[in-house]
Amino acid sequence: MKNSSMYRGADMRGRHSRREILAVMGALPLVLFAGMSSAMADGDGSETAGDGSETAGIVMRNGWMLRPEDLARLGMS
Amino acid sequence: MILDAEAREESWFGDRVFDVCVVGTGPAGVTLARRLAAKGLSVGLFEAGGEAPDPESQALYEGATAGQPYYPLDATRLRYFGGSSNHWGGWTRPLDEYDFAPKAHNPLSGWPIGKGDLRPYAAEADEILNLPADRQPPDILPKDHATLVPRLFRFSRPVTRFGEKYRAELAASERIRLHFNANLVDLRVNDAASAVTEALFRSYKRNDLFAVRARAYALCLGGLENPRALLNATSQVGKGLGNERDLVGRYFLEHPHAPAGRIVLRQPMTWMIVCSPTPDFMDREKVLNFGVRLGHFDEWNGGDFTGAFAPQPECRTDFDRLLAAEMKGAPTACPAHVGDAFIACEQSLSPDNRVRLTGERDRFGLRRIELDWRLSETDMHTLRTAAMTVGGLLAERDVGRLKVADWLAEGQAPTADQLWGGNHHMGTTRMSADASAGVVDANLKVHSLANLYVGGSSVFATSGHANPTYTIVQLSLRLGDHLAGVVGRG
Repeated sequence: MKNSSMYRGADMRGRHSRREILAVMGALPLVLFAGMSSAMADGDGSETAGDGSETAGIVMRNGWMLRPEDLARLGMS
Repeated sequence: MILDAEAREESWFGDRVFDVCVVGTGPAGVTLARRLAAKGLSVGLFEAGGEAPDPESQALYEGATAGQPYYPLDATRLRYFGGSSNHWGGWTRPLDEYDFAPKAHNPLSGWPIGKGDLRPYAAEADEILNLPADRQPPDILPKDHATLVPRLFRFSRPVTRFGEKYRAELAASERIRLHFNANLVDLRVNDAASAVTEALFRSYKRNDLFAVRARAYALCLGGLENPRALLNATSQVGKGLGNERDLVGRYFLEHPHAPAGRIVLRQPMTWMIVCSPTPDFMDREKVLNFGVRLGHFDEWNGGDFTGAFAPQPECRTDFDRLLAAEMKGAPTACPAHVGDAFIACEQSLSPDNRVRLTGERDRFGLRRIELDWRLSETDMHTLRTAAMTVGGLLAERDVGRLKVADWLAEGQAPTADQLWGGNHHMGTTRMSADASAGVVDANLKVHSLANLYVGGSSVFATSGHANPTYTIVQLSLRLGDHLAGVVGRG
């Protein structure tokens, strides 16, 4: 019904959430953070290809921006 | 007085000359009309729809999109009394002082006015938008003024729906004549094409046009429809009105919105925390303005959200266990410490981001539009820098940890599920001191026409990261004062 589609673009912070808008549009993602969930799929927090850079004392592991001591404390070193 | 154009009579418009003809009843149009009436001017106010949403009116907003996936054009805005305030979420924030200044890494940026020109209208904008008093935002990254500063959003509560809030006032007004079902179909100009002489309208059920005359005209139709109206006004000027330099519709701006990742914080979250860059940081990193929100995505989409979070259950799980669980993809449900990072950012200026007319016509013969919206390298750099900077500082200060969304961390182009717009349509009749760089001047007058003005976010020269409604209202109040001076002097 046209009347219902009228609100598909409603402000995502307002009466209708982005999830609702996408649902009406037929585009609701199964996981909103799709990329994130796939990165977590390996599950053990180990370093993955292309995602092990270390800059300015901050370590990246699976997209997580960590302090160097986090690795040992969390049993990841 | 409220009238229905379907029931119009000759006497309504025959010899009548309004001081100002205002087209559109969203935040810009209603605010402007009220301001003009308060200054003693007569106002003809015209709304294309009726008092309630109607498919027949809404269908006139249908159009095409290109580039970055976007909302359907008949859904991203509303075409009835109150306009798109009827689905507004109520987020407000004024532009920052430095949003008005030119930036070397964003060519053509800079406004011909400054924040000081809008500040006198802040108190009245607060009242119109039902805003609470300003307050100091919480800062979880203190002593970091060289990089990020905390920002505050205020929320219109109850959300100002301009039709609902001001219906009784408009109905009782002796100076404002509000007409429903009045669709603007043309603007006629004098022989020199230097001034508008009349605005032509049609209603839905009657075939005849009706002409409205005024001493000045103001288009307040929204960021997509303002350029459409100007570009369609070709009955006397082939390129459309105000389009001598092919600038009408160009420099469209949105606020790219993107989930930036997942956060785990040491302290429980009680407020949505927003981090924005300092001017020095923007210049140094060549990024544009942004706001990174830390909190709960689902909660801040709630209609009653005011910045503070609903009380969360007490959580005794220590930080390392929460972080480890999140990192292993086995999250423990803890809304007090675990949430989302979300970016809304300024977009760079590009003439290729634009509204253009297509060959398809609506029921009134007006050409429909295509919106072409794309992200630039500067936009992508801004998004990625925003996420990485906040994530880095959270870890460096040991305040929390951020997992950056993969596409941002890896510099990939976002999909429709990873980035979207805010239904903010800006820049398409941009303000400029010089006619070579924009469509309207510092007083919102179309450069090439003596009595045609534009209201709303289409006049924004740049967007900042703040949601636009607050600035729209400030600009409309200022436009009202300017027009009262111009028209009042006669």
